Amino acid sequence: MPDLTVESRQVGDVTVICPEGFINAHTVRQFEQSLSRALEDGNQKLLINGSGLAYIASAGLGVIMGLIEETRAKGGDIRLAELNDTVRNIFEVLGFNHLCKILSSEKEGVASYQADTPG
Amino acid sequence: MPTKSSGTRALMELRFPSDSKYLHMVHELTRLLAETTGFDATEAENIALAVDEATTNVVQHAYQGEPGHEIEVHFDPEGDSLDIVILHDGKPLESVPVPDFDLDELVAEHKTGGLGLTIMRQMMDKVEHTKAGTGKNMCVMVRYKQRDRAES
Repeated sequence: MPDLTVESRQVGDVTVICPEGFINAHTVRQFEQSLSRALEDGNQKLLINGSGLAYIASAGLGVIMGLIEETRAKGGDIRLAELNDTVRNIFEVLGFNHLCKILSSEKEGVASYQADTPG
Repeated sequence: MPTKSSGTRALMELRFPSDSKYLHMVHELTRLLAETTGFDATEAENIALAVDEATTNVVQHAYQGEPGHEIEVHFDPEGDSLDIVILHDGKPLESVPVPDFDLDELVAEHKTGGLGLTIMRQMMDKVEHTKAGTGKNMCVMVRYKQRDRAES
């Protein structure tokens, strides 16, 4: 079983990124590449579905930190959904829940982008 | 490696190569040991993450990403705390004074480094970088079983 697989799919104009496994210094490159690829393809609305994520170490958090300003400057965002208690706890201890929107479900995550759209 | 009180050897000692592919193994072993010795699932995961970060620092910074070196992790769960000691022969990783963690500032300044040490300090009650009697560099981390940060 691989340590980490990352799938991406489109739900409207939101790119949902689904890491399955764990994100640490050994696996972070795949995670970073998935986010970067989506941004390079012009997709600025990213939603990380964390339902398959066992844990995330600082390497993964650093990727989110490194990309979020650039993404927001282009009118997009990086949001998270369906985090298990472990991952949510990591985010909360470091205050990432104030940096990034964390939603309960993928559906809510996608809807949160639609709610941003004026008109 | 003497333990905190008994003078006997640590309950579990692990030696592994300085390769990031072993970090998950160390993470999971730490988590299971913490759960086995009385910590709940969230506490155990937090402790595992702290050890993950500490060993990552050794792999990436102490040994500068070079494989072929050795890392030791010693666990002592007896008594009122879980003591974890990480030993290596690489570049010393001193506990530099770190200002209060400010995530917004780090993001604004495009700084992603230092998160690992912050995680270690948030998840553990004590973190100290020092030298072992053997001359090896060591990181000592302690998590009390009955946690009261005000007293630690």
